[in-house]
Amino acid sequence: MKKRALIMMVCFLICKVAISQTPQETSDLRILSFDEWSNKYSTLDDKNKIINAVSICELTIDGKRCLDNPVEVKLNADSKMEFKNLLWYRWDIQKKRWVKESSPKFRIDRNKKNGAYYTAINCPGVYGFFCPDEKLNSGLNIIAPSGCKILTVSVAQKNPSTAYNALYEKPTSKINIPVSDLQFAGFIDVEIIDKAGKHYGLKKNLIGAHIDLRNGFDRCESMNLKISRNDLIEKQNLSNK
Amino acid sequence: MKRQIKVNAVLFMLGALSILSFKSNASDTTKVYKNILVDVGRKPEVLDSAAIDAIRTASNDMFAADFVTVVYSDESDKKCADKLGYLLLAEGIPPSRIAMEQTALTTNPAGKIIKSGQVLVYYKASGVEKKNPTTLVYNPDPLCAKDTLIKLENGYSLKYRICDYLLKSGVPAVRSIDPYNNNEKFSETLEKYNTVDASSILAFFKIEKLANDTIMDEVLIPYKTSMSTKLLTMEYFDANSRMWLPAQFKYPRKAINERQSYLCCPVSTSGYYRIMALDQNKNALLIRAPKGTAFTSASIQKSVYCNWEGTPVNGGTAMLFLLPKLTDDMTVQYSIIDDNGKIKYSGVQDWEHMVGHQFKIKTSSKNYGVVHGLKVNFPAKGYQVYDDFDNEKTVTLKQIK
Repeated sequence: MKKRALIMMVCFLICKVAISQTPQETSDLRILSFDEWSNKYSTLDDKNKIINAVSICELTIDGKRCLDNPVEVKLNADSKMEFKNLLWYRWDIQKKRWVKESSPKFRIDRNKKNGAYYTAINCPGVYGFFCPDEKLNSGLNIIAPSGCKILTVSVAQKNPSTAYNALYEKPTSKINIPVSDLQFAGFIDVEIIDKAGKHYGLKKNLIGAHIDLRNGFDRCESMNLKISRNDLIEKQNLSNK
Repeated sequence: MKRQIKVNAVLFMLGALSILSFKSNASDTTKVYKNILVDVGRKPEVLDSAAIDAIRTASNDMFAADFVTVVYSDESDKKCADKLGYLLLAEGIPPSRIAMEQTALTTNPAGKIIKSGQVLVYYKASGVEKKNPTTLVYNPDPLCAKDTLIKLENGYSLKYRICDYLLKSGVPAVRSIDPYNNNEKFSETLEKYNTVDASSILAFFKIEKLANDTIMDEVLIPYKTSMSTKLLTMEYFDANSRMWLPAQFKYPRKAINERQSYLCCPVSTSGYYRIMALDQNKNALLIRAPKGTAFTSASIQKSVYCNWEGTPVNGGTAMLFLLPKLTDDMTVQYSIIDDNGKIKYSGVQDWEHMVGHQFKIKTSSKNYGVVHGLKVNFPAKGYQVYDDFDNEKTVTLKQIK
């Protein structure tokens, strides 16, 4: 009988120790800067359409478990009109696309000047507020010079913030990027390989240096960017610089 | 001995199970929070008897809780939520402990999913619950649920909530100013502020609020429906820069109150405001950057009191403005980026010198831009700035990545 009582006591102590040793969950929500996210996460949804990023954040949790109580995420806005059709997306690591989670609710505090959009998250990951692109353009065609093929392409621009990064397993001479708006001051880089196996990049990385945007993107039309040999600089030379 | 080992094993299993059950209880918030889910019927202002009974049965427990929170997900369910708030008051729950929240589907601590057409009442049955005071958006005083209208001169009305000003020393005051009436007794300085063509000013008023008061109220201005084709923008006089600036994202909207159409103008701070009725065909102005460049910013000034910021269109190669009237005394200031990433800044240049070259816009019917939230069609003609920088300053743009 004493032995049983002793064992019960031991069990109780084990329980207490086990509970007290459960690591305390600590979570950290961090806003990612444009430079941080633009070269990692293309702003494409699971239907392969470009979406405009408003704000992107990362939730990290010790132990990689989901939280019991969600973390509230807030995006300040003057009014509902500021971000029309704002949506909340999660980065899907397997699909490598943004997947829609919910529509954030807008609430305005009468005692304060501005309102905010609110949403909540439990699980670790990369999340973001996005606005869908309303335009219906068929995108930007990038055409490599003759005898060359495109290996990688990366486009990043602000206002609205979009990013597109692609690595082609089979190098191709023509690619289509589903962007619907381009900024003169946006960044573009294309890695090209020629028949001799030499790697080239663009001499100038501003979108405006390669495309005349003065007439804008018309609906349902695509824009062509024909790269000539003169636009290219050998990658080896770049690294030597 | 074997028997003893079996008994010990069973005891150990029981111990392990007790750990698991203890842990699951600790993490399961649904057992800590009690909740009552109410379905909103066809008439949201009428509560069904089952909901009333459930609230009354739980009222003693609710009284002991730190907070009782009423949650709804859809704005259309707010009336029902308000009714539940009044019922809680009637059951003796102190007003300071009733919270009302409009939240996303799964954000409430009770862990219940609230759909449209449902209102949830929850409270923490045991333990302390703390709430951020700023989230307590609901003031359960029934007076606060109603907006108050005060009619002023020229049919202007001020709309505010009584409770927002209960502890304040005074309510805001609005004075309408007639831009057509030269005998209006406003100071000579203010007259200078009003530098735009008076015919485009739909309303001009001054609101006076307490020094640190930034509560959002609405000024209602009588509005004829025949003017619906006009574009409306609201501007405020910025006392620091002494300029009229667009009140961005604070749009006037139309509303009907007591069979009269009004413009509802949200205002939060003291000062002078004016509502401009602009025509998108007459008042849109497009300025194009020289070939191979794009604007990084551009603004147009008139005298020293008006400033309009341009909105970039076509990737920044052009700027779109919405101006009351194009006059010769306007000046332009801008910065452009070239394809090498260098930014050039113009000085303040007179209109004639900077935008003298006019060009036709081919795709005027297709293209549009958004200026201060208003969809604006491109005009048929635009101006192109000269690539001429008298006061040129050149800096190298840090590459975007």
